[in-house]
Amino acid sequence: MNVLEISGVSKRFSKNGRQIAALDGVSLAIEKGTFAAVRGPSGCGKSTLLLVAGGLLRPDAGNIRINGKDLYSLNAEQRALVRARSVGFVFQEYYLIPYLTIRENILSPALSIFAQEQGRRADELLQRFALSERGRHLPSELSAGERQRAALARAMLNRPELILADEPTGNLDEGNARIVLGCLREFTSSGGSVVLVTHDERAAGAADRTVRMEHGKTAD
Amino acid sequence: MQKYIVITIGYFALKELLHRRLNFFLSLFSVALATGCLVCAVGFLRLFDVETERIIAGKEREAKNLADSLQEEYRIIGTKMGFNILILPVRQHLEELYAEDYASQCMPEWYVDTLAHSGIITIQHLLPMLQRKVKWTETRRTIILVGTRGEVPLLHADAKKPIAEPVPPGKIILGSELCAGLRFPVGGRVQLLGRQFTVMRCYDERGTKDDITAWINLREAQEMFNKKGLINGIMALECNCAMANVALVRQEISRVLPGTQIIEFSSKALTRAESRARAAAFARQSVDNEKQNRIRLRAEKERFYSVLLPVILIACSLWVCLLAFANVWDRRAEIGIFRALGYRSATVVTIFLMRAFFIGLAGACTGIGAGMIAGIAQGLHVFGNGSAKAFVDPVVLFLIVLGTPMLSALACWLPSIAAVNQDPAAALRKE
Repeated sequence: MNVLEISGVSKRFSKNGRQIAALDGVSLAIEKGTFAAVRGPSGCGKSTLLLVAGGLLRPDAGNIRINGKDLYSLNAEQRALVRARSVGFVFQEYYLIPYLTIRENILSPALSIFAQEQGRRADELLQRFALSERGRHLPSELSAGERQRAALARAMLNRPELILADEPTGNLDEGNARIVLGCLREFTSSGGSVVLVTHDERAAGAADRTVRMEHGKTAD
Repeated sequence: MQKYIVITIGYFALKELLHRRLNFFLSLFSVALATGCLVCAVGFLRLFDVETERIIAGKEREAKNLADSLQEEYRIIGTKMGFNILILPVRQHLEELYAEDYASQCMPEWYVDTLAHSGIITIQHLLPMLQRKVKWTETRRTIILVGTRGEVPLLHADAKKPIAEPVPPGKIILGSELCAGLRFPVGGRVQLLGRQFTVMRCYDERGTKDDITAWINLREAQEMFNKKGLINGIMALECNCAMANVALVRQEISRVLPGTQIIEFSSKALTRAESRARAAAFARQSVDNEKQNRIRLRAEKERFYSVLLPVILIACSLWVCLLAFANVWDRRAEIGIFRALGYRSATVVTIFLMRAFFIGLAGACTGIGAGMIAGIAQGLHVFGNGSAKAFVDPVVLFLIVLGTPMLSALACWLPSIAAVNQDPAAALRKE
């Protein structure tokens, strides 16, 4: 069964009066438990694909289905609920909330599904990502690797079925990159699916499947 | 569930405020400034009102003292003008009285004692007398001879300095015309209708029939006129009080002495009443002038505040609004991640409104504190330690604490909506 189905998705941006096709009829299906890597050079549309797939950026054409549900037939609030329950995001820049501690950052998705009893889950994730000692620290007090692990833990709090990761190892050294990829791998082993956007070959090597993107188009 | 969300969002908002301190303190300052000005304006008006009450009370005291002293002066002047009430036997024909200058009818002397013991309040200085127009055969002059025993004290009233002094037996007091015309020296001996008297005193010129009047002891007059135990009039002075008028005097005296009638010497009474009214009016005018002055000053202050306060409130609200927009701009990525985490629009709006609420609350408390310190310091030299009580209106403070966070949230409404409408992808996209 496909967790994510992307069918004929196109997205154009206007830049300096010119139309640029960030996505040009992209189609892709991600099965449950799959770790898929999308590779390509900078500016090929990888990040755009991820935002469209996560329901954050409406495509000009095509459909996105998550667990068979057409994402863009839903209104913004319904899409937010789908994201809250089924999708986790990880970004190269981490985007941790700077004034919350690491534990609070990991707990922050609970607000989207109004879950009160997530404390134990957060502690479990802190332990799993080797951040137990860092729970009370602010993101600014952590290393890049720790921040990315915290971002990954945050993405997993609501037990999503799909993680959309945009260059999660881009700012990491080899050791930390290995840990993060290991965590993603582990996530797929437990039934989750991952779409990893990267131009890093090592990262792509950890995936079950690699999709190549160029000029807004995919080629397996 | 709602409580959990509000607490969590409130917690997030507080942490964010402490994280972005510059924006927070600029917003806080702005709200505190507006609130402080409001507290000061309301407080200063209250201080002004209390000060007005104090000044008016002082003025009223001063005016009362002045009125009392003026009334006393007028009373003394009025008293010097002499008696203005004459009590006569009821059978006395007035045309005869006016033609002859004395009453031919008599009444018992004890009437005056009855009156003095009656507790009457509308008249004072009771002077019983027996008078006749007589031919002073020894000097070939027509005079008015008055026998009097002096004023009879009212038992229920404080003793007052008498207008007319008593004449002891064997003594005589003469009017100025008699003294001057007959050249009788004080202490000299005179013969009147066959009796010897010593001149006790000569009155100054009064310009009335008193100038041709001779006063002797009542007993001697009663003997001379063969009217033992009788008098033909009681002179009195209408009291110098607001409620006194001739109708009331008549009513009171008729109740005590039914067999009498009362004449008021209207010009004297009128002068006394006018004097009294003028003194009271002068005092009232003085207080009214001060009241009008204070009302005018208060209106000026109100006008000033009614211009100043809206300007400050609008300027501060705009400033808070701009700072909130700046905060939204600063937090674009954060808003993007909120949306990526699946936060609904209402949750995002609440995060920003809650932030504005806390700014309003903290600003209100700070502004109230600063405003009170300023107001109390200002009031200290006027009211001393009572200035805090005079300055603070708990209801106004409560409304400010309640209203300011609402206003702050209202000022941040547009920025909050802007935050919700922000495209999360624009903030999160790198390409």
